[in-house]
Amino acid sequence: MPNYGFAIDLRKCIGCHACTIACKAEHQIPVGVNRCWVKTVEKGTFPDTRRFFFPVLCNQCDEAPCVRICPTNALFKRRDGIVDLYGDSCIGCRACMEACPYDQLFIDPNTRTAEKCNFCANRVENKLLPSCVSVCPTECRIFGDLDDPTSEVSRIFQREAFMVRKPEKGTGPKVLYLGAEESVIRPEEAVRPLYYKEGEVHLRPIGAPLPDPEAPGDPRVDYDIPHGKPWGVDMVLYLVFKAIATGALLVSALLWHFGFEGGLATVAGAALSLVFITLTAVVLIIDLERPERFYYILTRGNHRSWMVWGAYFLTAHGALSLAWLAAGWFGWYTALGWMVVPAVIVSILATSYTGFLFAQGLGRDLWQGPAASIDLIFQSSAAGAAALLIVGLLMGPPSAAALPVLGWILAGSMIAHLVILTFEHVLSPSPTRHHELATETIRRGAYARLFWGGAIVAGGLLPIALLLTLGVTLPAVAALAAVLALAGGAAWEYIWVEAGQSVPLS
Amino acid sequence: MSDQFKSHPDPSQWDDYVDFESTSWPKKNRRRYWIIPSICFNCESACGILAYVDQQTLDVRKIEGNPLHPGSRGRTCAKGVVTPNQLEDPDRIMYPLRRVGERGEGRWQQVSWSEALDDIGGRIRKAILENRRHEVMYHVGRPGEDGYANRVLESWGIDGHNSHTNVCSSSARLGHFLWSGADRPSPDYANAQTILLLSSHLESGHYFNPHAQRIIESKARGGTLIVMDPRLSNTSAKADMWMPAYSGTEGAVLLAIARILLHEDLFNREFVRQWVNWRAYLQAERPDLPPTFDSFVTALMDLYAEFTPEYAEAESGVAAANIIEAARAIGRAGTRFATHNWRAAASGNLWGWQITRCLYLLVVLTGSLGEVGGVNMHVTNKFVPKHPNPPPPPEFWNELLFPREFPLSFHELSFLLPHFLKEGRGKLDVYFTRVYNPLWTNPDGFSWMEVLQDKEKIGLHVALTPTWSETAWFADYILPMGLGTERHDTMSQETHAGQWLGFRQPVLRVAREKRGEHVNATYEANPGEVWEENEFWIALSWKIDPDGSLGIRRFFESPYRPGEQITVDEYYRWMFENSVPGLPEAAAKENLAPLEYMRKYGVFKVSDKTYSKAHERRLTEEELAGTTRGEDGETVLKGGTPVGILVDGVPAAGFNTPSRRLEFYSTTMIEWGWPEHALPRYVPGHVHWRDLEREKGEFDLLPNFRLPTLIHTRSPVKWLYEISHNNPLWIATLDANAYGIATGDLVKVHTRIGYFVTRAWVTEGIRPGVLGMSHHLGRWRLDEKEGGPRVASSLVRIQREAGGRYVMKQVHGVKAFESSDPDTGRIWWSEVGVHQNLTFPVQPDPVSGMHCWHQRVRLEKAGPDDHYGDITVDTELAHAVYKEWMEKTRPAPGPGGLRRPLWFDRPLRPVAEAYKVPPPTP
Repeated sequence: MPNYGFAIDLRKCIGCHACTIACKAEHQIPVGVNRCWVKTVEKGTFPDTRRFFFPVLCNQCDEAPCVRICPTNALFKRRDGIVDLYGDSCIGCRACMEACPYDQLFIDPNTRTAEKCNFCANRVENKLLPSCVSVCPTECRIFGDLDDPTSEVSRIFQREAFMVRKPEKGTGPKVLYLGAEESVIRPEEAVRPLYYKEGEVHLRPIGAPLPDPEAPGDPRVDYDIPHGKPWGVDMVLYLVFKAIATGALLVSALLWHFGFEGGLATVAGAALSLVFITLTAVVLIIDLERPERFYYILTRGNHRSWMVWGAYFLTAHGALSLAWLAAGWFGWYTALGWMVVPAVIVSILATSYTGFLFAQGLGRDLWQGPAASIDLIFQSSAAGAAALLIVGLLMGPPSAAALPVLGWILAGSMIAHLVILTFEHVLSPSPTRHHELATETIRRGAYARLFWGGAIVAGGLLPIALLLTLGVTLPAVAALAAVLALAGGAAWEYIWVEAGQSVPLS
Repeated sequence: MSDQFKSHPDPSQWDDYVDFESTSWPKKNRRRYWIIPSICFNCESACGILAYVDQQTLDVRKIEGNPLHPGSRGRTCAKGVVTPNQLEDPDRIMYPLRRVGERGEGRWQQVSWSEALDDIGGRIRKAILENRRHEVMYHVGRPGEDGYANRVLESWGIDGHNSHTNVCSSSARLGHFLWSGADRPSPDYANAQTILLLSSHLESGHYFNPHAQRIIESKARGGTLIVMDPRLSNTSAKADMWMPAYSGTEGAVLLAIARILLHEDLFNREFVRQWVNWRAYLQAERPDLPPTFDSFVTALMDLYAEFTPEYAEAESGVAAANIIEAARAIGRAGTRFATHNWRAAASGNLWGWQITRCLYLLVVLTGSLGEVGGVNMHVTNKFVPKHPNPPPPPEFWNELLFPREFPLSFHELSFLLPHFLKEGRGKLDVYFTRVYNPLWTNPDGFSWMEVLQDKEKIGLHVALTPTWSETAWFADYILPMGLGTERHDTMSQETHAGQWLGFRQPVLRVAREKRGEHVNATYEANPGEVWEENEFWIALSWKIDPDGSLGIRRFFESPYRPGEQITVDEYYRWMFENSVPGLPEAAAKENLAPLEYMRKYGVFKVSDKTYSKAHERRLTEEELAGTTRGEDGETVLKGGTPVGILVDGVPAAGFNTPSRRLEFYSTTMIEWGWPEHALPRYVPGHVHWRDLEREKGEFDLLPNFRLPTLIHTRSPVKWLYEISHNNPLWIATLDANAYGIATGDLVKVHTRIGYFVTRAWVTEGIRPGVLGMSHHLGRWRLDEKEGGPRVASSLVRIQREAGGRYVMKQVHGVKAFESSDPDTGRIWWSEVGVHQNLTFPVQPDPVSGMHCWHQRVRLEKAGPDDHYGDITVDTELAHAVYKEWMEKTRPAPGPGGLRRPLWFDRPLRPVAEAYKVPPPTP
């Protein structure tokens, strides 16, 4: 079986965009999205100035992260090494767009499913070269079988000094570049202006470095296509709702276990959990490009995808919340006892899997941090405690006994969360330039105000201080602390989602 | 290489190609196509294309390159592949429209073709009957064909061919022509060792895709690419050496290179000795020297002594060391030296043709003319077949085209037409614009607008165009003509060392015929009521001369069915059967008629390696019979006309010049009043950097560079605009800092006649002191819904104030809109450039007639009342500037009372008698 690969001789590329358009024509690609394109970077000061052209297309990775994350097996690897996509299975969750370190997937606005370059598998099966190869005026693109020792790509693979995009991601990219310039192949290197040589900059990644007027010779992008962020506020809502749901069940199970028998532990926590887990599911489904296909995640599930496991965990969590609520409501307290351990486990799984899911977003270095899953547990217990605290305050005396404990749980979780944030995102040196740029948006850039003012002070240190100094003695103050904690949590979720996606991938 | 894969389906499959539909992949839905070859209509390269016509729906699914085409070799540029965007453009014009209300008011009425033909034909007939033939003019932007329209004009007996050449390539043509008698070079890039470009052939130009392929081929084999351009074009970016000379100083660098070749003995002595008219030069200018070749070399060294690398550096800004290195790379390449100049420096600057002459001096010194890897002449590589039944040439001379002021122009003074009309030099009764948008493309567009609106000056304006244009808005009739896959034409270009003939076909018509339908005319198969011009001209000619009494109809009668109207099939059938050597034989081998062969393959390779060196061809005894020798004892004369030259005693054909040699020394220039320009020399242009008052904000604006993704005003389509949709002002960091300008800031650029406001793009890719702004962008329309491509034009308001002052303001840029194509709702760009050409006065080079594109401008930061796209122009001032430039001319008659030297051709050449200035009428 062949193993198809590509080589692009950048010394021959003249930046004419014929490949871009031939691809659009072959696959009827709508305006605003691209399977392949040519980025342009200018470097140097006059008269030692140079412009570089960089055609990009899917790397058809050996270890394709998009295939791994795709919850419904819509993305798959063919036997010839091409990573292809079965649009009929795609639910439009956009996880693949986060997984691909090369920015090679997008949502086709016509089909509302993911789309990507497949080396023109439809042509390859007819023994025709991909359309971008066939059109190229200077024949800078070479397509062939990497496993066939007589092929040109195989010769290049073995004999030439080639580069690939982001080899450190370990994906085994199969597009080899000859004569590549560092600032072109590494998307974080070149600065990105607010205006291109031939037009507007649309959807500029906010964490991309801006031109420095003092250093006009720095590599700068002349042209690139628009790159939208796959995930937005919907993901933030998902994280917030899920944190409340999982935290509420977790905390109420713990309360029950430690002998707090009031309605807070038996009914309110489970009810909150049920409401918010439902909201979580609704948000997730609405967020899909093809919401009517949401159940594919269960019927066509890819067990390598944390999204699928997440679906199981959320389902289990919903079921357990319902069971707990029923037991609490009807007073089947023995059953509650049995359910403590499963509830704790399921809540933790349902909350922390998201860390693994985001880490499967291999394109986003910010999400690769190992602490995210643990932090999610603390965020979840904080959110659960805060929500239960508010409910407890509203319920009045019957729950009073649990309130101080909730206060302590909230404060403790918040402290743990802030410690993790501080270590992970403030103190820790960045392992990559991409991570550094993303972190910059948090520390000093676009999200700094929200981070320091919202996630750290108003939504973090302030509620902790209130809880540690005044405890829950003053209901209004306790409620304020709980609301602030929830808001601070939401602020961080927002920053985490946005900053993670703020760096250009290509 | 690429193993078992093919770049295209094999021609044997073209008649029924089964393809997997990519949009439903990986489901294996099969669709059947006819693959029908044609040639692209977007730029002038005439690349071969293949249209995939769906057998079921008759949709053109996609366009690819035709692998059989020798010029483009199966590859196309971005502009070729977007042809389906043009076909499906929601703003296409589908029906003939007639103006209702005033010109430019924008009210239109759909009319039938027969009404339009009756009206236009009747009017032309009347003009011919009343001996007002000079009032009929055909003005063509993109010809896209060889000879058809000219034949029509000849058949009507009118000298009415006007072109776009003088905003394009006049100076380069004159520069080449003065040397060799051929106005276009044909470099053999693929085999060159060193390539020197004064152009940007890796991204645009004559002929972008075929040339770019071959330039890169040379580079990949170790060739050296040197590019001279003040701007970091994509071509400069790929160069081994970028020489950003101040614009207009290129000649100094080129002569410095020539001087090094001479001093380091890196030139081809034998070639120069044999083929340059050095004896004439020595005799006239250096009688002090013995008439030997060595004296000539000495004289050359004397002549160019001041052009040391250091002098050239001081003049051009290009480092002396680079100039030396470039010269040696050229010298080392020997005859494998290829170069080309078509627009760029030659078109930008006054005396630009001298830049071309200096460049061609290097071709001559290296002796690379006609060599493998050298530079040939287009006459060797372009193949134009004879058309059926050729009419005689026109018998009069139209001074609106070739006025006496410009006896040496290449060619028609097209862009001065509004001023000629304003001066009352004539008027037009019927004016065709054909794929031509002068109001937008030419300088001084508001003057065009004025005459287009004036019914006294232009009686009837017929716009032949597939799409809306700024010019068509001011027409009386808009007649929709087919795009590249909706018409017949033949075309050939000198793309490389080979000759080919391309055949453009209406692919839907061919598809219907394949389906077994009988199609009488192309419009039956085209969408809406879109015609092809060939059929239009035939029908119109019959309307002009319905009974044949004017002697016109006979040229449009079938060669196969006497007295009947010729069909397009018959026209090309005759051509392919009778005037393409080798085609009937090649067709017969496949059991095809020649026309069937061309329909099947879309192209015919006439010859392969064309290094014929026609100048070396020995004259035959027959040719020599009855000849005499000229005064020099060498020129072979027949009836007083030079037809050959004795080279070392051997009679050879020589070059198509009066001396039959390469004319280093041009007697024509002397005889026609330009003795100071007898030789290739360095003359700074009209916007010389030393003359600029930099402290007052003066700059040299380079406004004529092109992009690889767009072609003039013919490519306003979604996939291309998505990539390139704006033309910000390139400004060097150094200059930007001095003015406190950052990328994206609004700037105001003043010309002699007005100003425009646009955004700045700060770059290290342009020489400080030079500003750059690309051509193609800044399209506009006057109506929200029609009159321009909505994906690519701003809605503007034009106000005329006192005198000739016009103010244009943008109401809004491009907006997403609903149409049959969901993509128009996804448009995300808004600013689509500023139409800088409106603010340029005409600046005709007094010799070549070229519009000298560079502008001396004054730059300032925009004020609070300035908005993006603001334009102000004074047309009265524009006319005054026109008059200033006209002062520089040295009018005919020349020797023999001629309007133009007889050896200077014209695209549509009238009889020799017409070259004579008529005696003044008492």
